Amino acid sequence: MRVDPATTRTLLHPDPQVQEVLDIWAARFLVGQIPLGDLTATLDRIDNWSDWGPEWVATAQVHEELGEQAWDEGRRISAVDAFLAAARSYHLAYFLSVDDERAHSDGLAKMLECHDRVLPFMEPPVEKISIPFPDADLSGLLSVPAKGGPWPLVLLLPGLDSTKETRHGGRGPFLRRGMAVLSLDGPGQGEISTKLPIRHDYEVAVSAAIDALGERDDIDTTRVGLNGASLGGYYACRAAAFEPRVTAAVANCGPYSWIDCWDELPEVTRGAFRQYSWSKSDEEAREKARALDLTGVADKITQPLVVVHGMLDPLIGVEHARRIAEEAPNATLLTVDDATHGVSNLGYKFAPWVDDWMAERLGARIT
Amino acid sequence: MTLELAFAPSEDPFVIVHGGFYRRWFSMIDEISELEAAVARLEGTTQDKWVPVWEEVGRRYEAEGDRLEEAGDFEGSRGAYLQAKTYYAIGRFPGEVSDVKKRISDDCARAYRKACAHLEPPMEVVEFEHQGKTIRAHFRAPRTEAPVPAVLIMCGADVFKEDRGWAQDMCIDNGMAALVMDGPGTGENPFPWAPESVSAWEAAVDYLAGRPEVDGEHVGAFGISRGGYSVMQLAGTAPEKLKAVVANAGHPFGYVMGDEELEEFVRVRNERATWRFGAPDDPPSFPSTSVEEERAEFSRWALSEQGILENITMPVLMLNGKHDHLAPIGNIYFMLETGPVTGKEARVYSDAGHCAFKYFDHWAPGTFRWLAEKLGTVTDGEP
Repeated sequence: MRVDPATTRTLLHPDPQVQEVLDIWAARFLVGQIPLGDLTATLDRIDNWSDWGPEWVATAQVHEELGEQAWDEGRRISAVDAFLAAARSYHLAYFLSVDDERAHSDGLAKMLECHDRVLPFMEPPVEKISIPFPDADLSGLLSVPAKGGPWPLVLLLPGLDSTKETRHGGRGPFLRRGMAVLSLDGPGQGEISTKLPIRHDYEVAVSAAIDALGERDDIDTTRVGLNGASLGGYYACRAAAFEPRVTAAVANCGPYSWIDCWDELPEVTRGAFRQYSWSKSDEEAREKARALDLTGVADKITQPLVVVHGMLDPLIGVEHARRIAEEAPNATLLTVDDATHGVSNLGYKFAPWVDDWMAERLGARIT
Repeated sequence: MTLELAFAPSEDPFVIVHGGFYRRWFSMIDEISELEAAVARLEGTTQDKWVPVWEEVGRRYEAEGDRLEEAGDFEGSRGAYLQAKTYYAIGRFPGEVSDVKKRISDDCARAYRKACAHLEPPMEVVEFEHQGKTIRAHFRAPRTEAPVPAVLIMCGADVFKEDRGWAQDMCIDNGMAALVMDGPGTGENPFPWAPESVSAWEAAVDYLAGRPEVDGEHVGAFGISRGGYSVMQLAGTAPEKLKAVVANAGHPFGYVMGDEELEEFVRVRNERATWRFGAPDDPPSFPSTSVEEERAEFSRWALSEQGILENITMPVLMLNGKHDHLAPIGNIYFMLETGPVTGKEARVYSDAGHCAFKYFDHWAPGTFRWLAEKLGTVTDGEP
């Protein structure tokens, strides 16, 4: 039951592929702190999809240059803000540009470079941690509430094309409620995407992350929540089903069955899955997509689970949310009218309640 | 009031749990200990043993209300009268099936009128005619210069309009007028519980839309339990009259239960049918049923069978607990995947039962904000 992406159209572009990307993700870009002025100015320079990556690189470079200038002048706070803005634009440059090898690899590298350069100076503090994992270590960004603890932990799980850097930008509501936050790059995600391909059994990544934090005095790994959006919603379900240390989980606009979505996904999304699953062809990607399925899994999620869904999601139909909520014994279902993928355009209608819900489940605070 | 109680879908009046018999009144009771004490005194459910227990609590609160009223503490008296009303309402359950029940129902209505005596803006008891019969309802509107959107608050099988004053209050708080009306076959609605009685609801919308305080182009509806069904039936029958609807725990919309689920549904209904709330020699207060009867009822009542499902294209908010033993949650899932996806919202709470009263504090304020948004009010939270 696919919703026409044009239903939530807010920005116009003559190129159909660019238009489709805007229809699906424009709200996400704005929520992800892409300035509206950057969005419109960059779009003005884009004639067709092949311009997407290079033009976002150009936009990122503006912020990067401002960052360099601020850095040279000793204005560290401004430099941090500018380099993070550059990282966000570099993410846009690379995240769906899978057919533009240069934009993709350069954009990913520059995103990490700009982000990590100012890592020691971020407020609230962010620590980059390495997570032991077979074949290649995973990576995470960790933030802990100020003094005290041990704090319960929320893992923010990226989806197909988001990364720990983009997800960690949303750490504030959890920290304010007294929860530590770990944004994870697992197999096929962000900087790990060149080292490990997507895995359907994402619980192995979550387990590794919990293990890696188990010795810390400031984190209580007996109280662990998961918050996953898009394909991260699938990952959250999968991990909750098989990792008993997970106390509660939130799945936002995740698929029950990725293959059931496949034929109606935009080309850029299928291309991204092809890229991050290390598939050599569309056919191989399609076969790998079959493994991302919660049949026989959702009913094993015994922890409290909130399933959130935007009724106008053009990627994942509401039937996926319904199937998860119906089969998971302790699932609460919240659907939001007029909301697109990830409920990005109307986050305020669910996020505060869900964050409080998570805080209560993990024994954190809501006041 | 958020209660720290266990959860168990149940119709046993001797047990106080979320999802159980007293769920209907939890949000209206100030002190759970008062309820627990009354339940502990119960020696039976037939009216000779049931009514006096609740009447005693109601009288006590009503006397307290009278005392506060006399002292000029109108806020205090309203609170006490509302408590009296609620305990009388429990005594009336499931309805005015005898003279004894009628008397405590009158007590309930009196206590509620007392509670509303000093309301600002005032509550007006109104009457309107339909097919030669008179329907009595409660109307309230914010004091504004221009007409405002309005909500028809539709009651169910065993909760009358006096117990939906909170919904009317929330409408006022969100800048909307509200008409609260008993469901067909209950209270002061003389129409029988029959599919055709949807015309009484239509008449109510017409009355509401015709009030000078109301913007008749922006009317919505809200219903719980049987009222949750009625609101959807009205939306499908007269879609041009409603701009948004909220259905809590409605059934049947069109979801077809599997054999096992239907058998369990029948078992639960028959378990409820063992309770007697009328005179000792009266039959059980709820009819027993069978799989065959439920299938026949589905054919008679389901929106899909009535051919009105496709008319429901206005914004719809559906609420319920996942473990509803009286209105299967499949109804909401069915509606989410039927017809246009635009305009549909759902809240299905995992550890809650019929009507999700355990999460009243979440869904109730959110519901009326949602209605205000869909009906086009702009409110600063002040009446």
